[in-house]
Amino acid sequence: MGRRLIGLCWIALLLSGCWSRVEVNDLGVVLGMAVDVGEEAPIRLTLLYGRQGSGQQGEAKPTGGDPVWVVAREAGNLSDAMREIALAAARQTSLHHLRVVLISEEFARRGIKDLLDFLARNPQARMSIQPMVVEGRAQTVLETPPQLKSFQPQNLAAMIEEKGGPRVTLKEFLVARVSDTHSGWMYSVKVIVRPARTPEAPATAVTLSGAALFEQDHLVRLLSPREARGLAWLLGEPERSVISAPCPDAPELSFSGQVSEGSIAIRPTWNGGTLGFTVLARGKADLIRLTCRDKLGDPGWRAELEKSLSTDVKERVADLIADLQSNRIDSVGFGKRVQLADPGWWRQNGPKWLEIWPKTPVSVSADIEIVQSGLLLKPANLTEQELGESGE
Amino acid sequence: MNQRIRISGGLYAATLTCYLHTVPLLFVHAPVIEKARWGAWLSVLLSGVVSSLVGLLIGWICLQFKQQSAVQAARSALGRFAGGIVGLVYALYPVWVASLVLRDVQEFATLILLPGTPGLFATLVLALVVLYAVWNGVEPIVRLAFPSLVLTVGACLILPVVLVREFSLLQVEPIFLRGYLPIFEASVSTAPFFGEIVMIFTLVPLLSRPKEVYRWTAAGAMGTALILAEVVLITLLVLGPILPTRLLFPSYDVLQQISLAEIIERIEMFFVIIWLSTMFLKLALYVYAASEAATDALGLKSHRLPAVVVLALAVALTRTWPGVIPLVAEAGTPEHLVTHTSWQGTILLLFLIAALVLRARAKRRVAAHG
Repeated sequence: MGRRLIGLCWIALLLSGCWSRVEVNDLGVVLGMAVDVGEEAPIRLTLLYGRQGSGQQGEAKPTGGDPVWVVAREAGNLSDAMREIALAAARQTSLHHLRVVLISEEFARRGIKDLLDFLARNPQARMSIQPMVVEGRAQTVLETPPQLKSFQPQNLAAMIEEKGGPRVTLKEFLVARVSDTHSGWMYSVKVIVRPARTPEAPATAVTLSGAALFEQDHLVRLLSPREARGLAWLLGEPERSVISAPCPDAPELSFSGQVSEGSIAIRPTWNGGTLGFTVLARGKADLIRLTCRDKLGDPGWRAELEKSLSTDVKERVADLIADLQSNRIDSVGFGKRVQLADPGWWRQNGPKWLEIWPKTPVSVSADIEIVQSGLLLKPANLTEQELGESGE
Repeated sequence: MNQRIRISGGLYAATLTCYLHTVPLLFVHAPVIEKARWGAWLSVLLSGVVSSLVGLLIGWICLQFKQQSAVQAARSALGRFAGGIVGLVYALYPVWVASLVLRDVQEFATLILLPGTPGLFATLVLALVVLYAVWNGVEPIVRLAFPSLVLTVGACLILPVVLVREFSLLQVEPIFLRGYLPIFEASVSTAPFFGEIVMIFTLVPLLSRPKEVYRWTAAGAMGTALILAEVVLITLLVLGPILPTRLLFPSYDVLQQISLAEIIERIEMFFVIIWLSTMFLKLALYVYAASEAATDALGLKSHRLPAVVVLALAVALTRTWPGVIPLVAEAGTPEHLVTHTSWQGTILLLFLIAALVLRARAKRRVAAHG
């Protein structure tokens, strides 16, 4: 009897719930965070809270009204700004579901050391958060209604996911930040005036605008979408990107291929003791548009198209490498390849890598293979040449 | 002395593996990776080999004790008083380590699992559960070992698959980037964790087939090394060789990276529950070992009262330890190494002396009869 009584008391103790439990109704779930340089204080922090019952993961809110609460405060540092926001929040702020952290270009150029430390230290924030640089004010991104999802943070995360290509999370950025062989990067976004919209739709939208390259915790360079595709190639994840190139026999016409598979081989070489790199981008592409003559059955002709696509990829990659070297940043990990290939060399020269890297010769080549051409054997319309032939 | 149960070799090895790997799973990364970088997993394997050798020596010592417990044998060899002192030295070590482990669990629980819960409350709840297990002797404790080990091995098999997306060439580094010496230095820094194998002085006398002690001890120690080496390797693949040395709980951060198709995520708690079960087993084994040693040293009949005293002492000691930052920062330091290994070495040496005395006595007896 005594044992049973003790057992019952024990079960009652264990089933009584957590000491620190917080009811869902008392939680203010932060989905997005934006950090700007403040107007009256060094930091302007904006948080986007999801409202209760406002739909999940892309479902629209049926009851109308604003599904989110966007709030901003300025303060001397992030913790104080969080505290200021908490004073205005009727729920306990929770960062457990924080998906994206948006950093304004101006703030990123000044350095994001404090922000990284704040996020990595916070037990609620996860390393799977996606950091992004915003061209312009970061706050405006959270204020802009999302296009195809209920909440802007989910919208941004989905845009990157659907686009394909390399992922960048807080974890990847932190690894790069402390690395002695490569530097960090993240995607960049911007708010644009929508060129097409229905009368009730918002005037602006958010779009991916490329990538932001960092040296340590300072933004150094913003890449255009074309340059960012070169980065995707260099990182070995170009899938779903589109290559457009001029037709071999008529440069005024062009064709496009979508990359279905891609890889990169970056190999350090030592010619006479001088370090260099050979870069080979390989890929498979499916034709998605073709305005030139279509003789895909002819292997020679297909090889010319493939050569044209390869040239485009080679130029993109070579341009980006030259850019990285001129900015003295190594976002791709050329240094890592050297470290793996020759640890002895790296032990001696690793600390001077960012001085050596800009002067290192890099030879780039590309090899793109066309594997599919959609559902057409020939262009849907008669080409000018065919029209000429039929008129004869 | 209580009537002893017997445990099979497999259960003994499972208990040893669960007992040895659980604390370093949380704390071993920073010291080994800081010293050996990408060779850290190799250091852990090396520690496992050394730990196996120590385990074999302990096995040999225990075989000299015949069917007696280590403390009983020490009393036979060195006399009741000196043997009793040896027993108390052996009993105090697990009290001390149990208090450290209790504090570790408390800090992990209050920081990650149950933020806001008073630390003492979390410690007391765990201590009471441990007491409940120890109350009925070693059987309930070792029975927990098999399912815990199966789940741990299952987790080890699943982890590389679910984390493969997080592996990157940019996180890889040459194993001997810093030469060979750091591998050994890192291995030495794990000695306090692997040195806890001395607690098998309590388990070996319970083996149903004592002569299999070498085989199963080596299996238990190397099983521990394999689990830890894999976890360290995965940590390196996911977080690289520098970031883990800056994180409080790198293993937990690695688990948080699990995300399958953006649907299966936030499942780290399943792994934490498995880890907690092994942590519970470890604590219970400490308390059982300390209470049984005290029982034998003081010539008591039951280990239950000593178990209460041991737990009360351990809980009281937890209040004297600093917070989690000094506890984690201490791992791998020379102070940590010297404090733990000197205590472990003393226990080993004292029982070795007892074994040699018994062996010499037995030889003399044989010679006298011969």
